[in-house]
Amino acid sequence: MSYNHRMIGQKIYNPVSPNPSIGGMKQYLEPPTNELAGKTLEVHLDGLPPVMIRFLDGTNLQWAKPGEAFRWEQYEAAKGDENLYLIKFLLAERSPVTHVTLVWDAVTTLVTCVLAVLGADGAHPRLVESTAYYGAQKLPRQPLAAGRHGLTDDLVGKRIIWRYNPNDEIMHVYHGSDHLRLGDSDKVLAPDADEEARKHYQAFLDREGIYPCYEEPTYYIKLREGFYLYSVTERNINRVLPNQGGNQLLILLNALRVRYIGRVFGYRGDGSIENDFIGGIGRFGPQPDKVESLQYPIYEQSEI
Amino acid sequence: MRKPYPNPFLAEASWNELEQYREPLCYDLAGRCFQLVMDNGVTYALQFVSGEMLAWGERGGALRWDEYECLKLDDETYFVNWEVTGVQPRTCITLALDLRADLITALHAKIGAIAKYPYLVTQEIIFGAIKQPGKPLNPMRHGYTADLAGRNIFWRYSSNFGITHAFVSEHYLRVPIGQPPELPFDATEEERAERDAEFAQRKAHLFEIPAFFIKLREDVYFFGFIEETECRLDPTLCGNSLIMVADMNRVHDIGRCFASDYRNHYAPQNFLFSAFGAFHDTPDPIDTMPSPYRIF
Repeated sequence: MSYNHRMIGQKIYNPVSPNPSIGGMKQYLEPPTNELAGKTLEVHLDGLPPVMIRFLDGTNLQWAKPGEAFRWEQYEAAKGDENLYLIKFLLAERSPVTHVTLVWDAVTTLVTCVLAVLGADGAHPRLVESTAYYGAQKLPRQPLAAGRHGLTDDLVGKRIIWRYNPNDEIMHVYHGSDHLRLGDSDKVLAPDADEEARKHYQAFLDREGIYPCYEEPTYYIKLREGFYLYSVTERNINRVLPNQGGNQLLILLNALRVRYIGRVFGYRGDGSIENDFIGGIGRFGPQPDKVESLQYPIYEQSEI
Repeated sequence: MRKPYPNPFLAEASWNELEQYREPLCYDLAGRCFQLVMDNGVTYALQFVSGEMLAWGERGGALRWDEYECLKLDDETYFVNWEVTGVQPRTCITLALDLRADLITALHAKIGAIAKYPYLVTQEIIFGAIKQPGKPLNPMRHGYTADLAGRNIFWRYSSNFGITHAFVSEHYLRVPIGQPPELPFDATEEERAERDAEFAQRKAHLFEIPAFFIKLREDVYFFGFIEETECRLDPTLCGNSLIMVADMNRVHDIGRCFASDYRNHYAPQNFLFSAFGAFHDTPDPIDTMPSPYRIF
């Protein structure tokens, strides 16, 4: 098995567990952290009013702007490094559906917030639109840190092969400063694939004529040496196939250990909201993939 | 020691090949205190002073402080490890804290307790329970299991290192010799040569070591082994100890290595790691090979 030969629907062999292995992009995901319980975070984002966040426990928080009542949300947090947190929550009762992702570096006190909105564009109801805001944590009696996380090209020209479970690998090709491609792969339907996997495989076949190469808009943010946040939005596939794609993947990459945790926001196939952590382990791919020699952009951006 | 797999962001790693995929250390337990009632007849206090420091001791006695490291398998299962400072022989304590059942299994390990084998780890497993206010002590215990006997798991520890553990019985582990360990398809010639040299050595000397397997709950196991066999044959080699807590649904483990590095002047080692695995049933000559070391 390698990233360029994918077996769709192959069951994960597990003779010990009484239940099927989780599989997908969650099998190798680390558990969420409870470390933030009891902590308070005062965030000052450039151009936005400050926000006070109180983490009540491992899953509940309250937040408020100055002079406003605190609002209660359910959150999850995971760690990209010992003091680097990825925090995500949906804003309850907000329409259109709005998602907050915070990256909080408790060492540098820098904070980046990605606000993502689902369905803001009536012509593309599945499409997630996102904006990154940069700022810092306000500590008592200390000035706000002057530095900020910032856009970077550090990853451009590199590629990482991600493994998500015993059966599946995918290569992320950091092809340009504003886009990402997936490494080329042959897809074969597993003999024991179930109905859902067969539909998934058929969707791949349906795409091939009009979406031959996965290329999606991306932005890359440097958090500290060896640590990055990057966003991939399924904008191109959603344009050519309006019933597919549109989701946003945010990845907190530890390029030193070649691990990531990330979150997916958008619609699942069944129409429910997807707001999940995912994770993978990887290795840098030293050899160029054939998708790297294709022209850019593959999909006319002006048509999106 | 293998070089790190080519990584444009890392000229030289500060960790070894077992440590690369280790999750961030867990500070969830900071501020929490536990009363541990162990089956050796001793009750201990365990106080997590911070995310890095704990205080512990027998009931009625003074608490001593040690630095610890912790990894989290899931919301209810923590793996806590520390080396007792200033003590000879070197002593390491590792806990599988099961907060779902309020049970604990402790492993107390030493290096150098046997003069003839100065680098051999000896270890004792102690079962116990966590006393919670207003609740009777759980009378159950984590227990030895044969669930994993006969199973093979290929574990990935880093971009360029993986190994199959063949749990040939509930007491022994072997490393297969039928096929050389898998390497990434884009591994370099140098990496292949190193792998082949190690594999040739492994074929010449069956790697078979004693192991233990304990079940914490469905899908969750505490297991480990000591590299005792080679050390017994040649006391200048190291009999290192690796122990792990694993979620066998995800085939993911977190663990620690308590060791001496014979390739580096027997330097002390004590580190945590994570591995990500896959079960397989690939037949191998070791499946039926009689043991050259033990009478079965």
